[in-house]
This record gives sequence, C-alpha cells and structure tokens, in this order.
Amino acid sequence: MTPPEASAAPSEPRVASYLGGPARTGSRFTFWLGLVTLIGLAGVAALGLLAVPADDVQGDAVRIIFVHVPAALGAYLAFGLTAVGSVMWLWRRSVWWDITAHAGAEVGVLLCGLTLVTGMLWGRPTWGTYWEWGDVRLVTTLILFLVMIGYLSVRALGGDAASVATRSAVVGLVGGINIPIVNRSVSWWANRTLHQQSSLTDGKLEDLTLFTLFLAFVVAAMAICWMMLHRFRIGWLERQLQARDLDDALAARRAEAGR
Amino acid sequence: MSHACYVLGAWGVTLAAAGVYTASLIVRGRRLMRRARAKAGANGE
Repeated sequence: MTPPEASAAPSEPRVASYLGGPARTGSRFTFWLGLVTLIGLAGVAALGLLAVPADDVQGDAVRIIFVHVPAALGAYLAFGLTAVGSVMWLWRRSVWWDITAHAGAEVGVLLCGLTLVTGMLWGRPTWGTYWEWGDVRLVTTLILFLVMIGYLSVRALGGDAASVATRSAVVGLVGGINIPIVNRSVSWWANRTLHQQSSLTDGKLEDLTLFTLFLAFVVAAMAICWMMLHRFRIGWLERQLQARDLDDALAARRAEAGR
Repeated sequence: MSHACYVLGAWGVTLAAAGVYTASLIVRGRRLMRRARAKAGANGE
C-alpha cells in the first residue's frame, strides 16, 4: 500500500519551488480582473446594443464600432509588445521578453482576426461590400495579420529555443514596422480607401456613443491584460518544464553511462 | 434594429472567439500545472 505522504499531490509551494517560480497561470489578481472585465463587458453590451441611439447615416450598424475599434487598437498594442519583446530578445537575449513577444503575437492575431471579420461585417451594410482589394487600410491590416501568423508559424517550427526566438524576433520586427503603416494608411493614401478617418478625433460621435466607446476601450484593455498574463505564465511554465525534462534526460543518461 | 444580422454577427463572433481563447488559456494552464505536479511528485521534490 502506498504511504499517504507519497500518494498525496505535491502542494503548490512545493511545485513552485520545483519550477523555481510561480506554478499557476491564474492568481487572485487575475481572478478579480476577469470578474471586473466580465461585468464591464455586460455594461458595454447593454449600452452598445440597447441604449446608444442609431446613427443618422449608418443606422444600427454603428453598434459594431464597440467591438471593431477596441479589437483594432488591442491588436496594435499586442503586436507592439511583440515588437518590443523582439528587440529586447535581439539586444539583451532576454527570455522574459521573448515569452512576452510570443504572448503578444498570439493575443494580437486573435484581435487582428476579429478586427478583419467585424470590419467586413460593418463594411457590407455601410459600403455595400465585405471586402475591397483596392482599399489600403483593409489590405495593410490583412498583411499585418498574415505577417503575425507567419511569426506564430516560425515559432511552431521548433528547434533550439534561442534560434527559434531569433528567427521569430525578425518576423516580429517586420510586424512592428507594419503597425504605423496600418494606422496611418487612411491619412497617407486618403484617396485609396473607403475607410473613415479616426472616429474619435472627427467629433461626430454623440456623448453616449463616445462614453460607451471609451468604456469598451477600458474593458478591452482589461481583457487583453488578463489574456497576456495567462499566456505569459503558460509560456514561462512550458520553458521551465522543458528545461526540467532536459535535466532529467541528462541525469538518466549519466546514470546509464555510470553503470 | 436595422442590419441586425451584421451587428449581432460582429458581436457574436467577437464574444465567441474571446471566450474560446480564454477557455483554452485556462485549460492549457491547468494541463501544465498537472504536468508540473506529477513531475515534482515523481522527483520527490
């Protein structure tokens, strides 16, 4: 019969010390952050879908703004972190920044994909088309999305961790250069886009619409923060376990050779 | 509501994708935690 102390699962502090750091992807902070985000999301949905008045020109299609614009800004933010993380890896060989860059790319691809899909669903009732290949904002956003899919593909190719980090950091920098091009494309090539200029700075939004949009930004920022924290900790745990697996394999090999 | 299918489609896709990704992060974290527990137990650390 197995002694009780051997069959019991190792306690969290024990696992944490085994890994040399935190052993969970969640924490009390992320629990409360998640809860506040969900409450905020319910508020944005209630205001955005029910309370905000329909637009004079676009009608109810304007309600897509509350998911489309925060997703777009969130994608810029997440890809911006990937670019910073890529620079820090190439400059300082910082594993912490490499994991941050990977987390940013994964969260950013989700948000950029949502930006494209919600943009298409907004474009159909507003412009009469889901997609326009001659539109610079649409095409540059698609290129950014594909570059960052490339980043995740390079990471998935495998190999030793340092080579993967270096190769993907180069792709991350290409994505980073793309961010200002996507953002400024509607100003630089104003005659080659159906896309409107900034909804915030042109002063055409009603007070309640503007308030709901800012609330949506805050909720999106909290959601991105939650996702980044969890994704970073997953990356960190994976690294620790890989390093432990390697140590165990080496120890087993040495023990075999010593026999 | 005018253009209801587009509005609800955009909101639905966003909430569904964010929800699925969030759930995947939780599941991946728990799996790693179980692996770490099992290895820590096996090594007697």
